[in-house]
Amino acid sequence: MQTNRIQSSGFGNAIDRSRPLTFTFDGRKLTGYSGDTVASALLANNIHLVGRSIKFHRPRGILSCGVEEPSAIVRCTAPGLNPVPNLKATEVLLSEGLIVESQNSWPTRNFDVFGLLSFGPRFLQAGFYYKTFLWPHFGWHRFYEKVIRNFAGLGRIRTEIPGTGGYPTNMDQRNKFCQVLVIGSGPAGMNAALVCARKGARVVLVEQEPTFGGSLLWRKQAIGNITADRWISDALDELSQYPHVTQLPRTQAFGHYDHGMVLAYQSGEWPDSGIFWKIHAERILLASGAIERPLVFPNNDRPGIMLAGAVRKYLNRYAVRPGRRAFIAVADDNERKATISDCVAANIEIAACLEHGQQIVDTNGRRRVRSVSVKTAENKIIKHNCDLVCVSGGWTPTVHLAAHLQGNLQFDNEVQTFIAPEHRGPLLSVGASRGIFNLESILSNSEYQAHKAMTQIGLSGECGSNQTAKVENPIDRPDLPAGSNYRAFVDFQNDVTAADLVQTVSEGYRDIELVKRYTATGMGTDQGKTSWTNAIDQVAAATGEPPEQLAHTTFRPPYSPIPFAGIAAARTGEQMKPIRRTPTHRVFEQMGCVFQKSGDWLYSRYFPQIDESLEQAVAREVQAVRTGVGFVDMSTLGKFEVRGQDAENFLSRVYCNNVSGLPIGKIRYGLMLREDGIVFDDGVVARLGDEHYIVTATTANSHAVWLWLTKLAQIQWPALDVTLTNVSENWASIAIAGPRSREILGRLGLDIDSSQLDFPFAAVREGRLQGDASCRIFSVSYSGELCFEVNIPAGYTSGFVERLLEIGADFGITPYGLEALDVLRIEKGHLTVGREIDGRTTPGDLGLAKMVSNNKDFIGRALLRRPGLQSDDRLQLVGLTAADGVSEIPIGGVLAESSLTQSSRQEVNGYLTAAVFSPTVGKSIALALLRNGHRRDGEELWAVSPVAGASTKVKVGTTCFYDASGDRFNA
Amino acid sequence: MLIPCPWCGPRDEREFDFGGSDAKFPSIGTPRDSTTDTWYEAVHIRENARGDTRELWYHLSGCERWICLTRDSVTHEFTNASTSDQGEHPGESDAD
Amino acid sequence: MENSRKVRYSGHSLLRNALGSKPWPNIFPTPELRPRYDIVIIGGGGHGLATAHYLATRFGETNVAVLESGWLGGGNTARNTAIVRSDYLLDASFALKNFSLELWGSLSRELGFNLMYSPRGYVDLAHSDGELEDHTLRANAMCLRGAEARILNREELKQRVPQIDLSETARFPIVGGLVQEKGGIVRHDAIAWGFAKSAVGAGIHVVQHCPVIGIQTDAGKVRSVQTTRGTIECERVLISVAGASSQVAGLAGLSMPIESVNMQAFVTEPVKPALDVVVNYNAGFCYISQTDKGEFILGGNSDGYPSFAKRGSFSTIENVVVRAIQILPFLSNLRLMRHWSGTADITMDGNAIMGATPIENLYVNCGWGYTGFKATPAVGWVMAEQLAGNATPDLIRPFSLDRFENGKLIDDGGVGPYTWLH
Repeated sequence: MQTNRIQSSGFGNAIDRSRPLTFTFDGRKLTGYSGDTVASALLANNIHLVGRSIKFHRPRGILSCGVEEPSAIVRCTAPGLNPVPNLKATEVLLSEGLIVESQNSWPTRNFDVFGLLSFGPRFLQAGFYYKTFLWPHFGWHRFYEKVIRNFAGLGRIRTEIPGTGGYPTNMDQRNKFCQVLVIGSGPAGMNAALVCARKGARVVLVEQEPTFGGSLLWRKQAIGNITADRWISDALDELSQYPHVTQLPRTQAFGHYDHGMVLAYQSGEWPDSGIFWKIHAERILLASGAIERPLVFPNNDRPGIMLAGAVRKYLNRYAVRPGRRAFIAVADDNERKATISDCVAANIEIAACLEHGQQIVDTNGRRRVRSVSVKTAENKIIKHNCDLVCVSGGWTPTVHLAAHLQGNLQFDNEVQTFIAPEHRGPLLSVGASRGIFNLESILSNSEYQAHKAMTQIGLSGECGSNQTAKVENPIDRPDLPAGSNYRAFVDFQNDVTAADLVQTVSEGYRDIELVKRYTATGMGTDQGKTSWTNAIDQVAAATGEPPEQLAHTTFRPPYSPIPFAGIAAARTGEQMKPIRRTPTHRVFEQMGCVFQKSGDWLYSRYFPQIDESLEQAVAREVQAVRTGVGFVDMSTLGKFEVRGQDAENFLSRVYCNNVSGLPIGKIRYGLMLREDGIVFDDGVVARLGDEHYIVTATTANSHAVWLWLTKLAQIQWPALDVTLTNVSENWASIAIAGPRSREILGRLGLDIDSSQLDFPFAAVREGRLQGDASCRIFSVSYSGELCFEVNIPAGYTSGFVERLLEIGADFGITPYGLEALDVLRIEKGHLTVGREIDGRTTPGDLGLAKMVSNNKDFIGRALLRRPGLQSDDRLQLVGLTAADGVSEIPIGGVLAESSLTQSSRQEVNGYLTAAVFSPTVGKSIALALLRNGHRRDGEELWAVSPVAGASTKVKVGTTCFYDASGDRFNA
Repeated sequence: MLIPCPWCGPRDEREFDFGGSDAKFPSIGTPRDSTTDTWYEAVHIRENARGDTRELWYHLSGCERWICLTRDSVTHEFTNASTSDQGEHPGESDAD
Repeated sequence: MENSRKVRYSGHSLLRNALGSKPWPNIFPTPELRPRYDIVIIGGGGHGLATAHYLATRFGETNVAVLESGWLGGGNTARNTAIVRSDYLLDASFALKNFSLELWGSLSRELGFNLMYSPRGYVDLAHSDGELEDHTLRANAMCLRGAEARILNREELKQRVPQIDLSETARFPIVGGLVQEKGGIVRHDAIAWGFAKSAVGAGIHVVQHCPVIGIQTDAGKVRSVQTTRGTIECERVLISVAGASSQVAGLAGLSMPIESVNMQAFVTEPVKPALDVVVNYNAGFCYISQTDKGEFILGGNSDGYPSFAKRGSFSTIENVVVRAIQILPFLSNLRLMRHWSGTADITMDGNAIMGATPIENLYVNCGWGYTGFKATPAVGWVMAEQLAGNATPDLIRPFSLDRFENGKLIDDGGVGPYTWLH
């Protein structure tokens, strides 16, 4: 039975009585109507006690009727969906079958064992946890923290993993571009939108509630001789006629960012869908209205004590009568009259009003307010029985978005609070956010500001008269009575009392930011919307500093909590970041390749045969390359063309080794340094023509090298005639490696001569693939075997690989992956970015000191000469083999003087960059960066891995374990 | 941020790669030109101004060019944008 | 000392206060500035206040002023993700941070202020065998130097943090992780307050809302510090002002190898305990823990360009959120509630600068980027030693300002002189 629902159809413009809905609250089956919020439906069913407060477990009800709600926090579960904790009952729209549960009580919200805590507010005073739990020194983490953590927190969340890649959602993310964004659709926003729309501006109007109209919907003020409802529907009709106007209901603008970007979240069908809007506006009209502020008095938090405006909204919008007998404590005279009038119209009996000079000294009622005790000017205490208290300390302008780009807000002496600036950046504030509360003034102010925005963007407007903050009746906020105020709440959600604030200030935390942090005022899910101004006033009184000097804490996005699911939108699971696949991917997939995700890429890792382990496959692949022929995908390398008269000069500056004088058709290894002398990347430089080179970069550094080269060309040396083209994605690159690779090359049908004379090591040839697609062949070797890297247009890759398999069948051609490639390169002591080239090593450290040219200048030359980069005690690259020739060298080991069994704690002499079992050499080998390593040839020390419990005695040697003379790739 | 690319117009910051201050390296020429001191300053010392800074951005998802921008490091307002070949690049004496 | 009064906190004192009528004493009274101090510390954040605490308690130096332009701990001490750990490969970085980690345990008792050090474990995830190899290397180096660390495979990880999504089909599958059980979180604001309380109790002057506007030198030696409240003569000065290091050092005519970037962090609404470990995701950063209050606290990379705006790009937050949901899918049911950002000073090798400057008796402690929080007590300890005596402590020596000139870089990330990438 919705006992509190007003039957008269004159009430309830938000609900559709023809569409009843059923829902449950803590297991009890209840009904409401379409259009209800959970809060209005609970109130309709005469339920005030909604949950327990976070610290004292005090019974809490519904304070407000919107986004500012601090108390009525519930967990909701829609049929078939996951429960969502910590939702404001005043924001959640009722839906059929919705399961609503109270939070933070045990066993039930009505009989909460921990309600006992409410008797100890002084012990659980602000910051109590900083002063105790100090003994013993490990006690905090072992005991106290566990207890505190279980008491803290609002709702419960399920942590089970729902399946691959996270929860499925229907969240969308969209961009919207407009000339004017109007935030809020009350009288100010609606009027401003009309003005702009009539001027032909592209307007987006956002409203956080499901219905446009803002306060007009419940204040029922007439505009001229038109009723509010009529004015709204006329305005919406007119706006709908303009194709350049977009109306977004249930859309909350929550953050104002640089250069006119406002982020907004549009709630969709509850609760797994919504639209995350990025709105880019030339001008922003902030018509966000105002939020009513509660009064601070002892026991001001009992269920049934509600904001006066909220009561009127429940009456008029939802046809819900929150009580039968109301006590009215409204500071502003007009507001008081309006509250009384609305209550009386809804048959609510008025118990009494708080008159000027009176104070509320206490309230009673365990789970619902039963009475209010008032001290009169004559110091007499009068007790008024009631089941509803309408409170209001005036209205606080909703200034948040005007302050997100920082800069403090101005304190307005007339409205006695902080108001939004008239104009800041692209944002113009209108109406109540400026502290203007009179309807006529709001309308003329919004017209003035809208015209101003139009003029600024070149759609001329004739400005009317400006209105500034104006208060008809100065607010006479009843003072907090002295004493017993450990139960006078300022921040309802975080249970911060007036006494807490006074205590905090007296302890020395005087700055408003310190007060916030020490007490957690305004740090709850309501973000202090109903508490921040009261807190400032309390702190001002305690410090003796006026509020305008005290200022306020920083306003930051989001205005109200925003679902993570909406922020991530489609970027869940594999969609989190696009995966890059090489041109070989499809054909490799057919060949049974095992891929591995690493960084941006999906790499071909190895090609297992039936019943073959990774180790077996890698050993087989390595052996094939060493003894026969194999091929591997090298397409992820960066490939950059360098052309122009100054191409050679450019490359000579970029690489530390000598690259000039390279004959056409020849290749040279190139080592690139950062400007600070540290090795940046390595690759090859190939000369294709007179003024035409192609250079490669490692996969990991491909993008960084491209940025580096273009920056040098465009910014540092714009006068050089050099043109760079990134052709990384145009060419697929397949390296055919092994002693028999030349035979394969001969059969590929390339129109180039592949005899040894014409195609020595370190050469490049251009030709055509079977007379069709162009191709480039580079005789370079990472594996140390005779090798030809064939570059073909990416689109030809599948066909090329298929042909390679066909031709190679007689030779036992073996596709190999990056695992085998890694073994091959370690056997040769070739370098890898991220391992040996780790952003800390110099050419000297890597044993490449001789490559560094003495005859030219290049990037990194000067700073490489710094003594710290030349000293002997640096970590230098060495090769390691197991001293006994059989033991395994532990992966990720560090180098020490003694084994683990001899000493568990010792100096780190260096560390391994790579360790593998070499099938070719037949033993475990490693590369390592060892302190002063180049002078320790032949020494023995220990590679230790405490995490694996392993130590192996290793012998220091050269980095090349195989074919040191290089005969094989020169074959 | 909305970055005013001189080639493409105002575009979202996610289209760009930041590339550091537009401090110029010492000129590159003969080995003798390259002194540690001048390079130390150029590579390490930054004005790090609270206010206007001149910096480089690469428009990756756009014109794929480097641009020079003057941006206020406190307010993020842009006051100047130039293409890399419009800006003042003095001291480029080594264009041999 | 006119301000010397020690305030003792305990469960007993709390009970006495709750039952009695005697209010708590003011632990941060505003002192009258003296015309001269032995030591002036510019910056009343965690580092500066820790330095003051150790100056008083270890070296008996109490003629010290800490000058703070805003409020106590209002810089990066208030703007971080409260994580402490010491999983560093390079000797210098490890030594300092591990010393710091060892100090946290007894600090609450020492200060008489609960810093809520929670060694709940720090898990650094690896997304490929190569990454796990790096983690192993780091863990091995830590163990060999006397710290504790383990490498977890997928099964062990599942046991340790069952909430983590280990599906192979994840965008960046998780192959294992490094765990340091002594890593965890500390209540960030409390650090500033605890150190300040101790320093004030020992007679040190901690002055808030007192910006320094000039540093006077004479013959290459520091003489006095000019503030909005007058000029203070002093023997030695420490600049410890993260987020304004270039500006304050500039007052003394120093040019620093520093650029400042914006860092962001944010929390969800509070929920009952759902995660009792700190998790770090490495495919583009995202670090997550749950505060004692119940909020999930998340952070990631810097915004990637210089800024003093102390607000941030939303795309940074987006990147962190999508990663958070990858690790802990249940987070998609929570909401972004509060967000903050601060200015991180980053040097040209990404590591801090501590110690002497070309100006005699002027010392700096800066360039911590976003790794300064975890180092707070150790920094205070060694900077106090530096300021009190003449010898430079071993732990500081590698972090000298002149390392950029002599090339003795300490680049943990191997990133180079590109501050926005650190």
